[in-house]
Amino acid sequence: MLILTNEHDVSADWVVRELRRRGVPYLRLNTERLPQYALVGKPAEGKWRVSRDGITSVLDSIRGVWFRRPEVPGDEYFAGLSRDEIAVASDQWRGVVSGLRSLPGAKWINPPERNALGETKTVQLQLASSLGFRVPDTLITNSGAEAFDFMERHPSAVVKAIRTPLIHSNGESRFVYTERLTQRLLEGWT
Amino acid sequence: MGGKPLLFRATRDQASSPGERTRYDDERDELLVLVDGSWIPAIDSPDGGPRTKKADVETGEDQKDRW
Repeated sequence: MLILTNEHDVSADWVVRELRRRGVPYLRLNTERLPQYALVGKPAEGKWRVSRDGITSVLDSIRGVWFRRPEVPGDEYFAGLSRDEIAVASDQWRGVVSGLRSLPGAKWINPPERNALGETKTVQLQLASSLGFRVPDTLITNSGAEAFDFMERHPSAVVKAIRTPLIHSNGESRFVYTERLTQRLLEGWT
Repeated sequence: MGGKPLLFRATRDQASSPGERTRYDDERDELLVLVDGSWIPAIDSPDGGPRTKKADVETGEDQKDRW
């Protein structure tokens, strides 16, 4: 079992503990630390291995993969690079982790591309509706006039972000919670 | 389009953040948290560790499976 995760993910901790209890061989790869490993992949041959501290794990024998919030390596691994270069380097690591999709014979519990689709609110809403679930009237817009009209038709409407709305700024974090759509919120927005 | 986008009018300071001291144990493959001077597995800590579902929701970490 291969777990692609990060070291702060305690949900992975629970799974690791259970795998150990059952005696199931596993490899937990905290992907933000991948530069600490020697990694060799030969995708055409279906062969991958990672080594660290004298221990080598052969990934082509992996039969199951859990994609649990992997992260790209932190800036500390890219000393001396510019911000733009770090962005490119991070993307290369992202490509390496994505490249593990080529592992032969591995069943992915949650393929990342399916995860992404599953987290897309519009897809959730359309699918739920098509399956017969009652879905609240929903509007996606960048038009204040449309939002105002929607609020008039739905006095108890709420507004929320379409993607993760965590804002880091000047060492502080702000978050966009689901809010009641009000006249005050819409004032001055056209 | 005029004025501050609606999304940013609805922001609030983050309600809480993981403030615990943590370190990763390579032998156990688990995160440890410092509780009363002792390092214990985060999942065994009284509050379920620093990244509980509640904290996830508050910080938006709940949707980090995107890649």
